Amino acid sequence: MTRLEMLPSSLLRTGCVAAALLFSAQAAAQSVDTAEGVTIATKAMEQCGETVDASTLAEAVEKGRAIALANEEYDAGFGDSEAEMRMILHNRHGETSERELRQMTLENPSLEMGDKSLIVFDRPRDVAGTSMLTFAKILEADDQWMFLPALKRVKRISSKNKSGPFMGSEFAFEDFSSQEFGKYSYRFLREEACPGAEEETCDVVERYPLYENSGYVKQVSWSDRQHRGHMTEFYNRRCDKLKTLTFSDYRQYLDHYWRAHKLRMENHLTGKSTDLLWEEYAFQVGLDEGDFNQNALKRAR
Amino acid sequence: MTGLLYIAPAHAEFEWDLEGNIEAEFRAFPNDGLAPDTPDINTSLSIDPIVEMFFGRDHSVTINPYFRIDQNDGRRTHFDVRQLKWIGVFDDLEVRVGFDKVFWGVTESVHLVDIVNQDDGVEDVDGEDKLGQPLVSLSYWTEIGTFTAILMPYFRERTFTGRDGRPRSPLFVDTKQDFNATGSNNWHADFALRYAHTFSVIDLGVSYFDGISRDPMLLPGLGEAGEPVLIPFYDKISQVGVDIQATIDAWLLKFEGITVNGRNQDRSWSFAAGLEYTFYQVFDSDADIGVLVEYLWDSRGVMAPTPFESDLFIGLRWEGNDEQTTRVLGGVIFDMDTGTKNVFVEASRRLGDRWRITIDARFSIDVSPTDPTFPFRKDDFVQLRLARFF
Repeated sequence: MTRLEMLPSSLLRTGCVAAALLFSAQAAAQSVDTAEGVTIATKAMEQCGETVDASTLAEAVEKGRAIALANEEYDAGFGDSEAEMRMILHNRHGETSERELRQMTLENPSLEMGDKSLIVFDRPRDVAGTSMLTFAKILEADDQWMFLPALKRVKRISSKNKSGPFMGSEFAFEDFSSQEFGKYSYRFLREEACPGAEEETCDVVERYPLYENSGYVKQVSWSDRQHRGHMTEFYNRRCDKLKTLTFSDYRQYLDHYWRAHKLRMENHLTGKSTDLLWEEYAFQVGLDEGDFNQNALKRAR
Repeated sequence: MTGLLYIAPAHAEFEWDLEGNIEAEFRAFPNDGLAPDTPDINTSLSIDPIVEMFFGRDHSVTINPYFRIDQNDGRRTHFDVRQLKWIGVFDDLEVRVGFDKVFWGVTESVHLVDIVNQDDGVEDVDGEDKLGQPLVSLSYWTEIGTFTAILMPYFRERTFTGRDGRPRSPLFVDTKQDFNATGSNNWHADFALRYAHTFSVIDLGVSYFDGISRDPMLLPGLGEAGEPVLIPFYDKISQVGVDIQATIDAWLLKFEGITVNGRNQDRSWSFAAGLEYTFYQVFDSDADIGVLVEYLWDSRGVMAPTPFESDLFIGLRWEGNDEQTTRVLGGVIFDMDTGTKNVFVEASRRLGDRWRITIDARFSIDVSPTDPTFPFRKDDFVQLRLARFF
C-alpha cells in the first residue's frame, strides 16, 4: 500500500515566478527579425479582427523591438538580489487571502542562459518551507526543482505549463517573466501620457508571445522613458481582454534599477484581483552559484 | 511566528522561526479486525513543531520533536525526535550533525533507494513517515556533481502497531524480541555514500549503503505467554541503488533500482520504473490532471518480503489550483501474480488560511492468501484529518 506524496501543484507553476522574479537581464538578442515580426503581428491582428496597414507595419515592428530591448538592457548588471513578497488575493465577494514568499536571484551574464532563482514559501502556513529552484532558459523550458519539507524530498518538475495560476492568484507564470526581451515579438502602437502618471510619456507596445503554450494571443504594455512599466493588458486566445496589470510605488536601487513595489492584477472575466507587494529589495548581497544548488534548496529559508 | 534580533554586523544576525502543526485524526474501520478486540473507530492527536534558528547565512540549528497520543494503541502513543541538527556551510561543503531525515529517489509508489531513515510504522500504512536518524553527513558540491557521505552510528528499529491498534496482522509483532545480524546492540556504524548530478534533462543519483537493513524480516516465534508472534529480524546488508528521472516537456520518466546483498540472504534485485504525465488546465479550467503509471518488480518473486514483486501502479491526480489548493489523488496497485488490488483515495483542501482537512480511504480487493497483505485484508479504513498550522 502506498501514498503518493502530493505536490503542491499550484506551486508547480511557481517556477514561473522564479523566472519571473528575475526581471532578467538576458537581453538575449534572439527575438525574431523584422520579417518574422511582421508575419507574427499580421497573424495576431487578423486573428483578432484588426485591420493590418502593411505600409507601416515593418517600421512599427522595429520600433517596438528597439523600445523593448532598451528596457531590457537598462536592467542588466544587477548581479544578485533578495526580496520578500506578499500577495493579497481578492475574490468576487470581497474576501481576501494572503501569500508570502522570499526570493533570491543570481543574474547570469551569459546571453544563452537565464538567471537562477530560489523561492521559499512562508504563507499559507501549510506550505511553509516549500521551496523552488529555477534555472531559467531563454527559449527552452526552464530547469526546475521543488523541495517538499515534510518528506525532505527534492523533485524535478516540468516547467512546461506557464499559463496556470500562481498559488491560486490572478498571476500566471508568464506574467512575471514578461520583461524578458527574447520571449516576444513586438509592434509599436503609439505614445501617450502614462496611465495613472499623466506627467510621464509612455510608449505603448503590443507584443506577441513566442512560447507556443502561452495563454495569450497578445499583450499591450505601457513603459516610460526611464524604462519603467506602468500597465500591461493581457488578451486571451479568443482576443478578449482578460487581465490588466498596473505597476506603482517605484523605487530606485543602486542609483539605477527601478523596481515597482506594488503590482495589481485585475481579471476582467472573473472579477477577481491580486495585489502583489514587494518589500524592500537588497541588491548585490554576495550570492553565488553555491547558493543555487540542491543542497541550498534543501536548507533554504 | 518569526523573531528577528540583530546582534552584530549584517551577516551575523540571529533569526528564529517556529512552524508546524497540530492534527486531529479520526479513523473508521468498516470490517471487524482479524485480531481479537481491535477497535472499529480510533481517534488520535499529533503535534509536530519545528523551531529553526539561524546564525548568519551559514549556520543553523533545527529542533523538531514529534508527539502522538492515540485513543487505543499504546504503541502509537509515542514521542520521536524527528530533527535535532546543526547545519554548517563552508563554501561548497555542507555538514550536518544530529537527528535528521534524508530522502533519495524519484518514484511515487515505492521508495526503493531511500534507506537512511527507518519507517515510523505506527503512523500510517504508506511508509512515508520516518523516524529521525542520528547521523553525521558531509556533502560536497562540485561542477561535476554532489558527493555525500553519511555516517549513522545508531540503528533504529521500525515501529509496529500494538495489540489494541489497527491496521495489524492477527499475529502480533513482538518488537521487544527484535534483533539484528550485528548483535543486539543498536550502536553500529552504518554508512552511506551518494553521488547526484543533473545532466540536462536527466537527474541521476547513485548510492551505496552498508549497515543494518531498515526492512525487517518477520520471523515466527513465541511471545511471553507462549503464544505465536512475529519477531522482527534486521539483516546486515549492503545495497547499491540508482535513481534516474528524465524531465521532458510534461513527461517525467522515472527509474529506481537496487540490489541488496545480505549476510543471511541471497543477493536480490528490484526496480520501479514508470512515468508521470500532466495535462495542464484541462477543460479550460485552472485544474491539472496528472496520470501516473509505475511497474514494480523484485527478483525474489512471491518469496519477496515486499508485496511489490510484480505489481502495476496506476494513479490519477487532480489539482484544482484554486485559492484553497484543493486536490484529489487516487490510485491502485495491482499485483500481477496474486490478483490483489490495493486502492487508495486522498483528498485535501485548505480551510481559511491555517487549517487543512484531508480525507483518505484505503482498501483492498480480491486479496489472495498468497499476498503479503493477506493478514490486513479486513483492515480497510477511512480517515479524516484536520490540521491547524502555526
